[in-house]
Amino acid sequence: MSLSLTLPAILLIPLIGVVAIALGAKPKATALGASVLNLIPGFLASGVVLRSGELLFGPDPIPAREVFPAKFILGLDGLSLSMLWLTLVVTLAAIGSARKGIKREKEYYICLLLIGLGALGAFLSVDLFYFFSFHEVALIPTFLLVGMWGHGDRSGAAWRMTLYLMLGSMVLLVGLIGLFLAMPETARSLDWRVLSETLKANPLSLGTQHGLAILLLIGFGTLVSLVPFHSWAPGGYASAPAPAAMLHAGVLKKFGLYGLIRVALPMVPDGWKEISWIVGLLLAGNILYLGLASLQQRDFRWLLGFSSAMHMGTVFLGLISGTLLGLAGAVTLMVGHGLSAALGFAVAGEISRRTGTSWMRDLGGLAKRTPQLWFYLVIAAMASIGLPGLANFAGEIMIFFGSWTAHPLLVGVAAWGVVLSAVAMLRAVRAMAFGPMSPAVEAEGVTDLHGLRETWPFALLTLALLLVGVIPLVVYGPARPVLERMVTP
Amino acid sequence: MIAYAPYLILLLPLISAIVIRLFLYPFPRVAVPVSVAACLGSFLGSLLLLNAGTPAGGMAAPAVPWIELGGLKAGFGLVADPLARLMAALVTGVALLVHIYSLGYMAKDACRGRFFAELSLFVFSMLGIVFADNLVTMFIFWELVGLSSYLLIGFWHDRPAAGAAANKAFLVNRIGDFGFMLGILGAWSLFGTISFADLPSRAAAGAPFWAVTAVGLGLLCGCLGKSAQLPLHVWLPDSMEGPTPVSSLLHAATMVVAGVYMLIRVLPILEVSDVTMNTIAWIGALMTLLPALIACQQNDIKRILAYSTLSEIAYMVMAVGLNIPGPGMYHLVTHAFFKCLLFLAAGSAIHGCHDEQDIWKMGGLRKRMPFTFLVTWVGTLALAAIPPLSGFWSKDAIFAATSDRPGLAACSMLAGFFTSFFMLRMILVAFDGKPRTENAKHAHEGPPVMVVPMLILAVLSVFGGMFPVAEFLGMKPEHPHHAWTLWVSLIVAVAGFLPAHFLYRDVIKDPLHLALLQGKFYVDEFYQRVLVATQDGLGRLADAFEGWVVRGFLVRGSGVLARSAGQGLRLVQCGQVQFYAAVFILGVMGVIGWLLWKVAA
Repeated sequence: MSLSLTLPAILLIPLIGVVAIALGAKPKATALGASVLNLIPGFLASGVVLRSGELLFGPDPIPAREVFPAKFILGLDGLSLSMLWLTLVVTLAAIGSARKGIKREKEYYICLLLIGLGALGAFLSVDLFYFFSFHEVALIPTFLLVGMWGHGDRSGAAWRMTLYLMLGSMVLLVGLIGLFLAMPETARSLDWRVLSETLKANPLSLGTQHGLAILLLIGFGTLVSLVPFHSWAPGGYASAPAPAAMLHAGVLKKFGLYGLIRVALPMVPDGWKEISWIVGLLLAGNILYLGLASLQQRDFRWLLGFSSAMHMGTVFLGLISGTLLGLAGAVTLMVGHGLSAALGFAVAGEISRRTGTSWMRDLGGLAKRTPQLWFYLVIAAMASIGLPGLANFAGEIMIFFGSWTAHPLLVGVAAWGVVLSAVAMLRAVRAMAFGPMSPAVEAEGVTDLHGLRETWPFALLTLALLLVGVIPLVVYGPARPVLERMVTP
Repeated sequence: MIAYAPYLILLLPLISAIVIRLFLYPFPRVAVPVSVAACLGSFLGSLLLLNAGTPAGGMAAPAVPWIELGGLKAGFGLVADPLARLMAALVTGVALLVHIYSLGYMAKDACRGRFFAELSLFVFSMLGIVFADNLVTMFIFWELVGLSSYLLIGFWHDRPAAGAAANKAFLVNRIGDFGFMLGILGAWSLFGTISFADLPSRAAAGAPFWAVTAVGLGLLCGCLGKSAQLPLHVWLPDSMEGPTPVSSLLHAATMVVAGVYMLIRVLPILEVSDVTMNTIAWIGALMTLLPALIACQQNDIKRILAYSTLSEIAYMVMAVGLNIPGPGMYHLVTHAFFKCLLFLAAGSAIHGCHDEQDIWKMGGLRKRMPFTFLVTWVGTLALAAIPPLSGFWSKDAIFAATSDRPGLAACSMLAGFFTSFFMLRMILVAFDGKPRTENAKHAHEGPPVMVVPMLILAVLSVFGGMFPVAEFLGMKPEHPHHAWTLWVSLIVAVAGFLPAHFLYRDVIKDPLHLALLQGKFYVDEFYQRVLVATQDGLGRLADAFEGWVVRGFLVRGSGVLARSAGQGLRLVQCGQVQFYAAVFILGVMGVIGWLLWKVAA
């Protein structure tokens, strides 16, 4: 058996899960089973990548001149490896922490599996058509989850999300098609390996690159909640059911950043450099503007939404650093942010599920009442404010060092962002965890996370945060050769 | 073999913290001995290391790589030079005594498993700072120390003030770390290295003056936060909300002097610029005096000691600014002994009076707690630099270097006057006279586990000055002992006792009312009303704008958007979601496919 079959297997297993649930299998057990089972091909494929650099599945891309240029080619290299594992781990945790006995349980779990499936497909696709389409596949169930199972102003939030993300996707699509069209007719391809090679040898004209870079920035940027295209994010995450927020903020949002690294950086490098001052301005907006706004949030889920959008600014700083260190930091922070955001939303979900509220004013004394939950709340808060030992810090410090020579002022902004997010997060922890118990927390029936059965998703995310934080090599090591090709002219 | 000792010393407390967190929270009877044993192991290891000679070619255990990429080489390399060895022995020694003391002090707390796990975490983090061989590693443990301080200050979760103080400590430190981080980045780009071993030669090789100054001031920010110096000193008095053993270990003896330790490590960078050095010296001189003034009008026994800590650390900071790290470290060591002792004695008084911290609600403890009274006097005399106690020798070494800097000498010697004043005030009010409350009437000494550590520290406070710290470090200053600094400082210090004696003998309430000092110069109020309010105001602005953009653009915005939004809502709500979703996906895919096909054809 060829190990390249593990790649389609990674997509097939959740798909089988979806079908099985649709046919009447127990939703949670099936979804969980599929997510656990998916680790096996994940491990096998990773083994190959770690040994030989990459793993491919699908037809040979070279005779590209066909009626329909898109080809279903899956590939895994050192860069997509960390995204693959981020998705596998967060999906597992999200489904593990999802509730049973919810209304329309079947559809709920199908949606969750589909988000994971879409994200996996996007990260594994080598062909830009499938790369884009898989992401769309993952977006639809996200909207449905927010709209049908969300809290608060869920339909408004769902629609805002749909509008922004669809518009963003359309701009992105125009950009991708533009890229395809800009290639000389004989060299046209949708395979990003071919595209990168070709465009490295024969770069596009500066004007074309400039235009494409802007389209890609707006398209991918909207998906990553880059200011000013961010307004969907805080409210969307606040309204989303916890597992959906975990999957979107944790995994799917990284598609935009991954796309910029895969497409914008290697294919329109000069254009990207040209617009990096715009990116610099916008990312400062993310850090300062959203950071300040996050100070004023009264609902913990809104706070997480703002803080999650805010931290994207630091990743963008890594993307415009133009150094190997900065790029590697961006990838590490993507993983760290994915894990910490997932943990944060999981904790927020448990808090509001157990106490019936996520208003920080109405909470208080959680540390005494629910010590386990408090522990993971502190971990999530500390990860997000860049405590050493947890993944985010490793990413941040690589970005700071990598960007210092080119953008010292922006590094200053990002470092101040660390202070801002600490203020917001610690205020929240204090309001919710310290002091005497509030009526909502003291109410009968408020219980702590109980035993391994309820804590394992939290422990899993925590262990992953620690692993990447203590040994960041697991992320930047495999990605290094891929990123090196991008920074060496 | 001995090269691996730092790893062992460092990792034992970490293992203890992890094991207790994972398995032993429900079993404090097991958790507590585990933590104490780990600390004991680290202490014995540190003693071995202290006595071991350095093998030829230095002592280098292989560094554990962390990030090695694109010009950045940050690994967990441990350095075991005399400075690190001395500090490690001091930290683990004091920590061991505080662990033992806590056996008694925390005996009735149901959460003492967590308490000892967090203590172990602190010892680990602090030792990390001590052994770090480069700036990034130091920064990592620097932050972890911040975390353990946060957790330990907020140990009593149900006290709102503890939560507030924990936040304040962490956040004020974060502001300092902002500068520290930029300083590290600057040092890296200026000198091309973050390793303490390489920095001296690169710094001496010459770099633009203002760049070096900026880097030095950035690094100084880290010290101002961690060591609570002007203008970031506001968190330390509040941190007294934590349990007293924590105040004693973290916020008096070890953690707060990490800033000084760091400054000594980066001294080769600092000393290039006289602007940096003068800034450090003057911050130190001012900070010896201001907290000593504030302490004269405080009523909480721990806060009085906290302000005294601020003042004493400032002597060390000033010593760094005067480029005499030897006496600075000397004072760091003696201060650890007598200040830890004073805090443990205060804890004993608080414990004896059933958690009463207001000295005006104590009184008469001298008869009921004679041992505590005695060791408080020992600590006080050492703190006031009365010969032949330890504090005298170390402070004298610092004063000697101020002989040609009259401004610095005036500030720091005047501070000695007020130190004597407020310490005697504290003793007279808390221990003399008659008990003023029921709690004070029933005061009693603690169990032997609390008494023995105090006894050991009292002995060290008396004789600790005999350790030849500066010689051991090879940092003996060239300043000769100046007769005038010795006599003037001594006379000023003794003079401080007199007004306290006349003002506070047999009083039941404070005869002095100095609002400016009671209000701590209103620095907290200034920060709260100006800085925090500004930041929150900007936050409100951003939040309001955000709401306005969202609502304005999407709800009341263009008719098309609103209408399509309305339609969308109907789709979601009418239950045929799956159908519409399928149509949507197919539509998107169709459009894309068609476009691609057109292009290709």
